[in-house]
Amino acid sequence: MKYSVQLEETIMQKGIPGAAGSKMLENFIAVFDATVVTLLMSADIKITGRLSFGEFGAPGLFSDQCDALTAAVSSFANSSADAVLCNDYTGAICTEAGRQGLYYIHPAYGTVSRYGLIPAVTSIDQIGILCKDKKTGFEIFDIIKQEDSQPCVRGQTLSCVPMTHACPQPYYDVYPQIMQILCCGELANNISRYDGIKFGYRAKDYSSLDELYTKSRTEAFGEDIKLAALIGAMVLSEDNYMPYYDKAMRLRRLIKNSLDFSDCDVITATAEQTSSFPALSRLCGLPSLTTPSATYIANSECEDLLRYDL
Amino acid sequence: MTYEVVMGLEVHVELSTNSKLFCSCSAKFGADANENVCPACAGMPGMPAVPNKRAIELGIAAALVTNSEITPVITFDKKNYFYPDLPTGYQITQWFSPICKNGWIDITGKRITLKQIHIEEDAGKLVHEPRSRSTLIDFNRTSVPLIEIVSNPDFETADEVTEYLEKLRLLLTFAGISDCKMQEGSMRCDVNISVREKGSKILGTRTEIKNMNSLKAITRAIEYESQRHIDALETGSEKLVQETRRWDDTIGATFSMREKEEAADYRYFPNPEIMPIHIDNLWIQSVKDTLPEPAHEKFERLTAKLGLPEYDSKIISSSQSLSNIFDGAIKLHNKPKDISNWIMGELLAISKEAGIPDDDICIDTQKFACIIKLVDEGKINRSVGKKVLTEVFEKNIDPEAYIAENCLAMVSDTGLLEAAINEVLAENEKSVLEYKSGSQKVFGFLVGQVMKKTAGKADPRSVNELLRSKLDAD
Ligand SMILES: [Zn+2]
Repeated sequence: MKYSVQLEETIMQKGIPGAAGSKMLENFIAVFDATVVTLLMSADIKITGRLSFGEFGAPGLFSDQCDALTAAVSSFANSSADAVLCNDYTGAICTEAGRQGLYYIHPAYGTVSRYGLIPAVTSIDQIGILCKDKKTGFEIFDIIKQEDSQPCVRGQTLSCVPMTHACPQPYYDVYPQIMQILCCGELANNISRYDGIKFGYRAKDYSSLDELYTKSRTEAFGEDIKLAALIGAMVLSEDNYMPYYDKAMRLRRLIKNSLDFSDCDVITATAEQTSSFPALSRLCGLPSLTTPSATYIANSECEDLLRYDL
Repeated sequence: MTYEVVMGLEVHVELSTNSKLFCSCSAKFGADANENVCPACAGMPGMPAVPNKRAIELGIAAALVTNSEITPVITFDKKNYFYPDLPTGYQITQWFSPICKNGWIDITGKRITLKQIHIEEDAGKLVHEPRSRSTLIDFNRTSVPLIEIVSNPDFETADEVTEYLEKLRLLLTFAGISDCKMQEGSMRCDVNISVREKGSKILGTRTEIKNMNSLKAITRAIEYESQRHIDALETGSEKLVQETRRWDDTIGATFSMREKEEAADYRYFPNPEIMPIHIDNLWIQSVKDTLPEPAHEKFERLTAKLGLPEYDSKIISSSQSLSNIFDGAIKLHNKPKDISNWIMGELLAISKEAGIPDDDICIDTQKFACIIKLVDEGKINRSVGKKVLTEVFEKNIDPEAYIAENCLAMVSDTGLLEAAINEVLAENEKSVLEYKSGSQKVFGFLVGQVMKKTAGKADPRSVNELLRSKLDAD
């Protein structure tokens, strides 16, 4: 295929340092290809480069500010990439994509293999496609999706309802908190493998095992990741597990069960709802499509969502 | 004052799977350091954990042989702690929904109740090199599947503990769940121990003893530790604290493991990568169908149904290999008593001579049954039978071909026997005279001479009869 694709650094390529935007993995060389890499190569799609959207893949854990896409935008501008694959587990990338006039295709949880993706928040991690042209994005999705994900058979005209209609409003305020608790808990756990013992960064001077751990992690992790690790350890601790982590998991299930698709196929949201909308799709594992500065979502776009069974 | 000891056991047993719990590396013991390691079990990022179905089936089997209640939906959870032998920084275990609960195992005069059994992955092994003052890590054992069998505090004596462990070992090895080798670390036992005044309802301060790798070590450790508790209570010589203690077998004492004493918070949470697994009755039944007869039921069958002596039944039913040989042989030659006699007599004698433990005896049951059948049918005599069995045991020869080649078939042709007897009588006139003057002792000698002349192939009974009639007739 004629396309060229760039990869966010958390997607591993054999023999290439997979820094994951972290000093911790500066010298870590991936020993195998991610499934998406294998699929792209067997479809003759050129992988033209790697770029980083932040430490362990995505910005926006603690702020809405996002300037991560500058490099991607220039890649699109100078035609060195038609699409960028990344893991937007926080929702910050898709929000920024809309502002930058780009599309972001976020497939349903599990439709693209996580094999070879450096994990951040396992229950949300999902490789998505950032692209300038929607059609290109969907064609690339067809290549990287799991073999067993079936295309949707529904072909009728789709009905769209705004978010306010399809999901109970009382939950809106808690989406960010739920996201933060679950993301920090899982992220803290996923980065516990980086301890300076086997691979990755190891501090120079240490006189005990504890010091080796503490110094290596203190020197190599960025501020957001350190904060996430601390909050994660807090919400998973014996005393806080029930009031924080367990409660967040229950609310997540409650929100998923309360979504009402009985009289609609697609839920739409506008820019002012953006902080809760990506969270909704990530908490519920739903596919979503971000379109650039749209004030009105055309039916054709919604059909894409179904036809491609994101 | 009299005291009583209260103990609970945590037994870790490695499951007999081919591959590890969450990757396809070999789970076999004895490979070179770090030979059985892949990116997943080395803790590298980007390798999703996929549970080994066989490990869950062996977990179900463990639930069945311990009379436990199987959990309909099980989960795998993450237990977080930092240690160099744990490459991911977390252990995948079952914290919220273990494979089963509320089982029991009977020992003499007592029922030991089990709190639960859960499946989890093992950690790696640290190898300390004193010369270079460094510590090396071997990840071969990382992610090897284990079950942890947690008992309630139902034990009072070291004898109860060892009997329980023996019984558990039997149940698990018979069902093919684990090979339970304490020396190789595939069965490990931690003892929680406390001492209280007899009759008291309140439990005393509890300590946990680790690092015992034989039943003898466990007995010694329990004796040492309970005495330490009693001394502390009696004399106030030391203040007991709740802690983990390491048994040192050479010194014969327990020592506090201070480095692990910081209050551990393992921050358990459900593993988002592994969906809850449903265990339905169909699956349970299919595991049940593959389970062999448990040792105690085998013992019942051997004694009550087949009428074997209790002693023989116990030896045979408590060894997986002996009971396989027994069951295989009676299918081909339905003489349970004869077969049991051959196992207890000839087979165990031969294997003992070769220094092979009961559990490792390996013999072609078809050939074994064939030899016994030939003896029973009078085709060869028993001592030839033992000789052939030794050949089968050592070289796996074909018994019938071997008998034919070496002309070992029993001589029951009376003409040939008579000729041999006549020769012996002629050559041993002195002994014949002694017999006639009333010495029974020489009769045995004369039988021996006849057997020797027929190269051991004569039917001893016919020799006896013929010889006696000849001597008495003269
Ligand atoms: Zn492995």
